[in-house]
Amino acid sequence: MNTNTPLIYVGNLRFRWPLDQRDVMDIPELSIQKGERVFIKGVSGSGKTTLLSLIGGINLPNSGCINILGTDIGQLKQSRRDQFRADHIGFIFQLFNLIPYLSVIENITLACAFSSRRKANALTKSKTLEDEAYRLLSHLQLQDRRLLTKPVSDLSVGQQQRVAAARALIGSPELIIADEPTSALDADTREHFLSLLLSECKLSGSTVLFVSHDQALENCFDRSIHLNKLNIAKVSSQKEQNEGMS
Amino acid sequence: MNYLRTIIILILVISPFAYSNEYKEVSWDDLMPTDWVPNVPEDQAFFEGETLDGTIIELPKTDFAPIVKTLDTQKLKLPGYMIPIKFNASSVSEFLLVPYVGACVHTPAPPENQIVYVSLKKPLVTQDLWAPVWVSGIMKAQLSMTKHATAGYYMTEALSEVYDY
Amino acid sequence: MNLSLLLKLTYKSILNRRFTSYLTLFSICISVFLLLGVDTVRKEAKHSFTNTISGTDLLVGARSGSVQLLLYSVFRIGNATNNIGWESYEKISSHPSVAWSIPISLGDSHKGFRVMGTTQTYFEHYRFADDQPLMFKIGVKFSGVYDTVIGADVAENLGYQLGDELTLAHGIYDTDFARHEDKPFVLTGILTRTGTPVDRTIHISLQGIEALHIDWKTGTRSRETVSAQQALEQKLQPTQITAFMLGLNSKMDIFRVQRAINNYKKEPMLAVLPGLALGELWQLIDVAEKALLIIAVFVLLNSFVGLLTVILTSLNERRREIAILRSLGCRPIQIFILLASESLLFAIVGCFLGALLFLIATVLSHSILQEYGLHIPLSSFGSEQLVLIAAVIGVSFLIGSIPGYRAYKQSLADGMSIKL
Repeated sequence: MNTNTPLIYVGNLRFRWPLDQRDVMDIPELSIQKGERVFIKGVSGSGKTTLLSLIGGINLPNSGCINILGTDIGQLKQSRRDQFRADHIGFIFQLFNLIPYLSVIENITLACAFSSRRKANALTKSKTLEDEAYRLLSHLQLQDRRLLTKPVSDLSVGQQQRVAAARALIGSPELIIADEPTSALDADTREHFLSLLLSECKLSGSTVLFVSHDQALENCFDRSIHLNKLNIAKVSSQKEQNEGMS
Repeated sequence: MNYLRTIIILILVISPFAYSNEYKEVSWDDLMPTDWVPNVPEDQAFFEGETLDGTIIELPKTDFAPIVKTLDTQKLKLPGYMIPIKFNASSVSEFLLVPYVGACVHTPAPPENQIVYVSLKKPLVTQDLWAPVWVSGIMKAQLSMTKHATAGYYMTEALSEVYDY
Repeated sequence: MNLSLLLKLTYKSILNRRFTSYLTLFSICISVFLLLGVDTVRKEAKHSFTNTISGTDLLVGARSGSVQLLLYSVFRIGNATNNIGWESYEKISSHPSVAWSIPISLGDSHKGFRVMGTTQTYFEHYRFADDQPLMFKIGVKFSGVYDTVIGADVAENLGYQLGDELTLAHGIYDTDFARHEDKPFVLTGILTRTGTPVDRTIHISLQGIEALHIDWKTGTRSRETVSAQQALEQKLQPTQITAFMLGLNSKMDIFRVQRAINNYKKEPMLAVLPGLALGELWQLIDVAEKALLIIAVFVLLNSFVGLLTVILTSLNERRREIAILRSLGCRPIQIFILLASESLLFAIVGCFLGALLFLIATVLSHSILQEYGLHIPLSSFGSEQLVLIAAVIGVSFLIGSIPGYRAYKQSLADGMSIKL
């Protein structure tokens, strides 16, 4: 794969939910280069999460291709897709990212339990997985060891999000997908978290796909995409609706 | 080498069946001489007002139900019910084989030539004592009474299995 | 993707819900204990009972029912309806077909243990289990009128030594207003343990029985008491006995002699084959023991329903966690294993604790069981019990598949839209 091949290439992507009559996703083309930090904006309900689930390989498109690292994940079998996701993609959600019965460190190293590739990567940077977890956390400015031995529910939301980021980053997956990770944080913490996340992604060379409705964050990113312009499915249905009315 | 193994296995598998065919199946009627007519034993005890003489029925030698001599040393197979003599909670090793059970109230117990004293080679594991069984073995027809044995039919080292209806 | 990680996750998840986990575990532990208990008691009861008598061809008593006769003469449970006259006994036992006979006489007791009058032939001919004879731990058979031989449990529970004196009571319950205090008995022998009602019996001679009751002929203590010494001078010929056991010269004679006794016109008697009588006893008990087993199984099923409820309820709370795992690359089948293994883990630990509880209970309840003639050794826990436990664990896995399957389906449907 040469440097000109995009990390993600989506072509003629069409998707609809099983019981629906209409497509909810219709993307003619989307191309994201390696190392790009992309901000995808859209209002709630515009299909942001659906797009991420398609790129993440959790849902299958009805037609079209989704190429990540040269592999059309739509053609992969369920188990291969899951493994691909484990190996190459790190997720950060808006809320409740962590598993309550595992410790902070266990939550982070869990990502490596599902991917030997990421585990190997992590071990090139530190002696043990735990050390690597601590290293990432310190980059994200979570150094207080006492805090880290507490149960995850004792951490503040901001702290939890940073732990989630560490989990997404450990083992240097090529793609980081973040689904409104700052929406639950207050304004001050938001920017701080974002800068920490983006600098760490730069360090590890990961591509970032950041979805949010908060336009104030747009400037921190290389590129900004409007979901409504990207996804023509809603547009056409809107148009049809308008036509139907007249 | 494989052929030899197959042949040996075949022999081992078939031999029990072959073995069991050695035993001639007989019926309970065959154990009674054809010319013998069993006599009706004395009445059951009913109190009839006057005290009757309480003499126990003696066991005169002539009163024994006769056995069929020709059955001696023959390999026979016979179905019947077990009256356990030597047993434990899960198995029976010695028993009297009789043609029926539980009818003692209606009719007297079967005559001696309708009883076989069976001693099993291997105890029969059974939860149900009333289940009928097949017994196969070498029949010993003891003609006369000795100090240790009354006249009758015996089978030692016998094989048994549950009777399928 | 290794199984050990999933099991570790299951384990940590259960630890997190400690309180409900303990309750569920407790419930399974108790029901496994119950199942094991019922199954073992029923098998051991049959075993104990069958081992009580061996080698006896006929049991004879006054005409009643065969099970009743078996129970009072061999197991010392219940009472005879009537006695048998001595003459009848003599006539039958002197028959040429009879090899040996043991007369017995019941009706007295001592501190909760039953007294049995019998003769020396008892010690020679009585057999139990696999043709085991009675043996003396110390001492000898009784010879004098006031001698007594006791079983192992009597000696152990009351701590008697040779030469000790025992005061016997009239009737099966020993209270101080109906004792034969004037005629104490001397201990001459203690038998080794048999695991049968013999252990709980106090044996005296038939003459001893006569001596005890020499001044009780009216049914109560008469005004003119006869002292122990005076009794010896009298003729202590027994006039009646409760029952007797017969050994015949040839097994072939069994039916003939049985019929002869049943038809004996001078006295109504019943002769039974111990094997057949035991079979009848088991027919009666069978219904009860099967019912007990069914109840125990239902109790276990109930525990499983509880377990299922707990896991299914937790499923809702765990949808978030499952979505996170999916995003990390966890496959739906692994989600299935995660949840199914939960019930498996509960079952394994529950069974282990239940079995442990059962073993402890076996040891602790030893003396209570003895009273009912039951003897449950620790060795009774064997391969059969392990099969039972394996079945329990197998069923638990099936049950665990239900939430496992639901989680599996949910994980596919939820995708990234994590419903809270």
